[in-house]
Amino acid sequence: MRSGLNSQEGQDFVKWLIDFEILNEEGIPCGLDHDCLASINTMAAGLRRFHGPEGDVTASYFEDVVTDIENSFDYTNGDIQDIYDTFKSITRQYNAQMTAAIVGAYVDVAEILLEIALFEVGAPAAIKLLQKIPISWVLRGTRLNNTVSKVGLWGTRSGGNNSIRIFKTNAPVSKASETFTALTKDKIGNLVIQSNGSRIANMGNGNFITFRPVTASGSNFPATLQLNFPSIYNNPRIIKFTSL
Amino acid sequence: MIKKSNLFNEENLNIFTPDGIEFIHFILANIGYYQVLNDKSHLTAQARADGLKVVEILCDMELIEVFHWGQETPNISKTNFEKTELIAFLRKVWKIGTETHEFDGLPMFIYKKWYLDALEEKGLTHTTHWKTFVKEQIGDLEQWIEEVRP
Repeated sequence: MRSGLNSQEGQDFVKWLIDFEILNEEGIPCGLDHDCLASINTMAAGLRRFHGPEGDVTASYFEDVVTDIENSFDYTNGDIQDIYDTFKSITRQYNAQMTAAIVGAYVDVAEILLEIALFEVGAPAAIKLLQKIPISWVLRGTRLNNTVSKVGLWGTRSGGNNSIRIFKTNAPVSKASETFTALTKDKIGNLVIQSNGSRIANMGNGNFITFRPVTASGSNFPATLQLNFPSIYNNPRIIKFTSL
Repeated sequence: MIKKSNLFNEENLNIFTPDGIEFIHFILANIGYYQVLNDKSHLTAQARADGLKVVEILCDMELIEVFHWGQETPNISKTNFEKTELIAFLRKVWKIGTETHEFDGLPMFIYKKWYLDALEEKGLTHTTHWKTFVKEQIGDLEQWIEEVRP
C-alpha cells in the first residue's frame, strides 16, 4: 500500500473505497429497503482487510453490535439508524487516513462511540454499545488521555465552577456507570470502593477516574464522573449526570 | 492565612456556590489551590491548614453540615455538631500529603437547606454564572446571608 496505488492491494483498496462510498447512496432509512446490518458487515469486512490490527478490532466491534441487534429487542429503528450513521462515519475516517498513506490508521473510536451512546441512542442500546468497547481503545496513556480530554468537555459548564460540567441524558446513573466501566477497562488493580458508594479506578501516572452515585450538591445530581488527570486538568474535572 | 473577610473576596467567592464545598479538594480549588497542571500544592501543610480554616469559618457561620463522613464515622451528629469536635475529627483523618483521589474517602459537606433554598429563590440555576449572579442579584453576599438566615 505504501508503494502507491499501482499494486494489486492498492487497486483492491480503491475498489473498496468506491464500494463503501456507494453503500446506500440513496440514503434510504434503515429498516425500509436498506439492510443496514448487511451494510455494517460490509464495512467490517473492509476494515478488517485494509486497516491492519486497529481495523480488525473495530470490525469485531461492529460485528458484535450487529449480532447483538439481531438477537435483541432493545434497539429501535432510530437506534439502528444512529449506529449505522456513526459506523459509516468511523469507517470513512479510517479510509481517509489510509488514503493519506497512514498504514494502521488510528481513529479515536472510543470517544466517537461514547458520544453516540450518550447523546443519540436509547439507554438499553447505549449500555450495550458501551459494554462492548474493547480494552485496546481505552489503553492507559495517550489513548485514554485523548478520550478523557474530550469526555471532559461533555455537557454544559456549571455557572459556578469551570471544572464542573452538567450533562443531561436519559438514564443518567446507568449511563454514567457504564461510561466509567468503559473508560476504566485498563485500570491498575481492583477498584477502590468508598463507603459513600464511590468507585475509584487507578489509571496510572497519578491519574484516577471516580464514579459516584451520590452528591452533596444542592441539586441532587444522581451520578458523577470525576476525571482526576493532573496533566490534563489542573483540578479534577467533574461531570454531573442528570435527567433530561 | 485565610480569614472570613478574605472568603468573600472575588477570587474565593466560588466557595459559596452550592457545589463549592462538596469535597475537600473542591474547597482547596476554590481558595487558590490546583491552579496549574500537575500542581502539588494541595499536598502541603499549608493547604491542610487553609482548608481546615475554611471549614471552621463556615461552621462559625452555621452554613454547613456534613453530608457523608467518609471511610471513618465518628460519634458526631452530621447536622448538630460542635465545631471543635468536627475540626478535631478532620485533623485526624486529613493527613498532610493526602492525594486528590483520597479526598473521596474523607467527609463530604453540604450547605444548609435554608441557604440553598434562598439561592434558588433568587433564581440561581446550575448554569447561572455565579459571580454575575452575586453581583446583580445579591450584592453583599455576607450581609445577604445574615438577612436570609432563619
